[in-house]
Amino acid sequence: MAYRLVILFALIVVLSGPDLAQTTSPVLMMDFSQNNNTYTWDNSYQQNYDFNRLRCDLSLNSNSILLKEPSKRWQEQFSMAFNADYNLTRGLSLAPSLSHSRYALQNRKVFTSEVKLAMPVSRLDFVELTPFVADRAIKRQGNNPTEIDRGLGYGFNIDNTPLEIFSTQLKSAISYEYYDLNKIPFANFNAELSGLTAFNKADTLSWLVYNTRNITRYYSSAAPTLQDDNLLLVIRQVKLDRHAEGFVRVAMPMEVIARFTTNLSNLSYDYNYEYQALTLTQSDNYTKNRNYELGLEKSFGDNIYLSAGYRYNWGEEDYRGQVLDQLIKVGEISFKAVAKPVPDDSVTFGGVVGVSSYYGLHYLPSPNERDLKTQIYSVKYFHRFNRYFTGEATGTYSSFHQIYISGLNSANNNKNETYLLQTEFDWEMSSRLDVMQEFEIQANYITYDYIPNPIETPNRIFRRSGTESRINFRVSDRLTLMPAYIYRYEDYGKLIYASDNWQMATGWDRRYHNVNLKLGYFPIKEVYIEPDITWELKREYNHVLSKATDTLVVDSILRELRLYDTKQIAALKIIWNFSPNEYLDFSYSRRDWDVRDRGKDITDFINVSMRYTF
Amino acid sequence: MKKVIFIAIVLAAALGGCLKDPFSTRNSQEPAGSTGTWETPATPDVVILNMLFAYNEKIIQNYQLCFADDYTFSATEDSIEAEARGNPSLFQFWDKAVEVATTQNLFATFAAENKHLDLIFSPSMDYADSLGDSLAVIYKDYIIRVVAYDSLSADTTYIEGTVSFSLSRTLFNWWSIYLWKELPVAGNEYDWADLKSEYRN
Repeated sequence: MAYRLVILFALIVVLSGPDLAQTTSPVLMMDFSQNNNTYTWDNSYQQNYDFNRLRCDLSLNSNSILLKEPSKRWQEQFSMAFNADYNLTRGLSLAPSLSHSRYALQNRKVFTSEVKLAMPVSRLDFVELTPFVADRAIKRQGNNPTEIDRGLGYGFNIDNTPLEIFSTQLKSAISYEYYDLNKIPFANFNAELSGLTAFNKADTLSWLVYNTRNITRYYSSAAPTLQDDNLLLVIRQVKLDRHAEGFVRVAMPMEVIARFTTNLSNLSYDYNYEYQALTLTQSDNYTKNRNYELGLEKSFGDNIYLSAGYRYNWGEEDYRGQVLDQLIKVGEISFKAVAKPVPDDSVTFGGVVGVSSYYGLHYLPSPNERDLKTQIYSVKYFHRFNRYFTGEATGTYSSFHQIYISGLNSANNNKNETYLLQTEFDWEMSSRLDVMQEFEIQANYITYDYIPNPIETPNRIFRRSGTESRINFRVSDRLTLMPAYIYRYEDYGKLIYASDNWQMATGWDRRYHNVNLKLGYFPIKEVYIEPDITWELKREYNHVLSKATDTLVVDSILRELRLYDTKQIAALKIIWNFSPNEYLDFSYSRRDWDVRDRGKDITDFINVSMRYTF
Repeated sequence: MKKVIFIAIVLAAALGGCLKDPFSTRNSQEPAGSTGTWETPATPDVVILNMLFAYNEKIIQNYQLCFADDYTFSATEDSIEAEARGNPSLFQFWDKAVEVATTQNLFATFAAENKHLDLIFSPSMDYADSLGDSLAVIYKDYIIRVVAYDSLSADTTYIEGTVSFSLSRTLFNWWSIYLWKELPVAGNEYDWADLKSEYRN
């Protein structure tokens, strides 16, 4: 019923609107993409009308996905909504709304229609009250007999107009809704209170508390074997979400800025089962979280900036009284220093150090009790050689140390360390030519605290280096050439400590080349064309131990080609901007991928998007 | 006045026990068990293997290392079915925190003595993997064997389907999963997404 009303209203508004009302331009957006056997359509239409005392919004959205293989499957979503607001008199209006949606998956369909009438009242001091009544119907059809879930709903919103008490701006909101549907009724309650105090120059104190309670019933998705003689398991869920947060910013003596942030939350779910099942999959549970952060920062003119912070987090997760329920405590400090002694040089140093501890909640000690120690440090040096040539170097060290306390899991205790060095140079060689060069080298070590066997060790090392070069050559105002080249080397293997030294037993190595040529061309101001060609080559080698044979005098490490992979990608992008807010965008790419022993794979991707304002 | 307020808040926080040493860790016991399986995620394939082993070995720390911070789980068909069951929010906003908490819940359940869960991956017969330099999509057919024992018998359920994992190369050039999609399989009513959703709070 509602969707017929929506269509009727929409037609009336669309056909008569331009003559009657001030309108904003309707916007139509259409998008189509195809990726192998997946076809996607996204369309939307939005229109607003302002008839002086009557304002209307019309919104239509659709999304369709077709999977052609292995079997044809359609997924469709469509929704339309019409909202109006008629100003009866000062501070009192009537706000009818109609909505209809359709979710379809093959022959399974869900239709939802709603007619709603709200009456916003804003003539009361400090308070804006919006009561509403609604009629909602949900029709489900498909595998089971068609079912209609229908009923009346009612509720209200109460928002206060901004209120100032003791220099604090107070805002509050309370909302409640209840839909008495004959199959799956639901109720939601939300209350929120927030305050903002500004004192002295730029010092602020803000806070927010809210409480949300949702009650709903729904059918379980439990495994077929858990269902009881075709009786669908009906679950009643009560969700309670309580949250408080605060933020203080204070300018301290010596121009030190201090910030303190706190977040407290409690979230719980309670369940009731109308038909008792032998195996219950969802049971009462709760999570609690407390987070406090203190930060201090100070600037010494434009040359030096220092900041430091401490974060404490406490959390409790209780799912069902099982062994993995846990208590979490996190302590973490962070710091950052930026120095710019001369205009052409700057140095940035930063780091984070912290420990996350997980404790058992019910079983003490829990086999999953563990600590995770994190350390990340980075230093970056930037230098401007001249106005056309700049360079920077960045060094990063990270360490993650995982420590299980119980002997049942402590064999997994390991330290994961990464060293990373990166450089980047940008050179503006002329007004038409820019060159960029990047280089990086990285080593990652994973060392276990307990190594049962020095040879069959779980210790690993991963090394990587790479270079990337890019050129941006503006041949003319309309034509730009953008060639690029990437080379990368990686190897990986066991890390063995022998003869008082770490040694690498390489398991595999890999080389990667990528050559790309992109061309950007504006034949006219509104049209942009970008052809793009990429060629990739990847080769991987296994390092295997070969025993002595007739041809090999002693045991040797042989390097065998494991993978020879080439890829060619041709792409074309065309963008037509027929106004600042309107466009037609077309892109196509074809990937020709050839993997040794695996044959050829050809993939096409097409995307067409349009935004049109009437 | 403001200093007093600020200092009072900091002291209240400190006195409330809100301090934890960010440097020291606890001592561990000598190992009594075996090492879990986890390799440096230097390639997309390794991430999927790490995930497979973490699932079967029920090691949540290794499991969460497989996912990117901007991770999303998508099960379009199951979402529509959830809509039909009256629980439309079941698959909404499924990010890394939800994935880890849900899996933690699932691991907790199957760590019990009377329950068992096995995951098996095999290459997809219908979809081809796509492996790029910094992005990759890997398709896997899966079988999950769920066994619930009691004193008299064992009840076994097999859950089959196909999933795609989209991966990207991010922090320290490690690969991680940023999108996990449950793919539709004709005639398959109960899939992995349904199993996972039962353990979402």
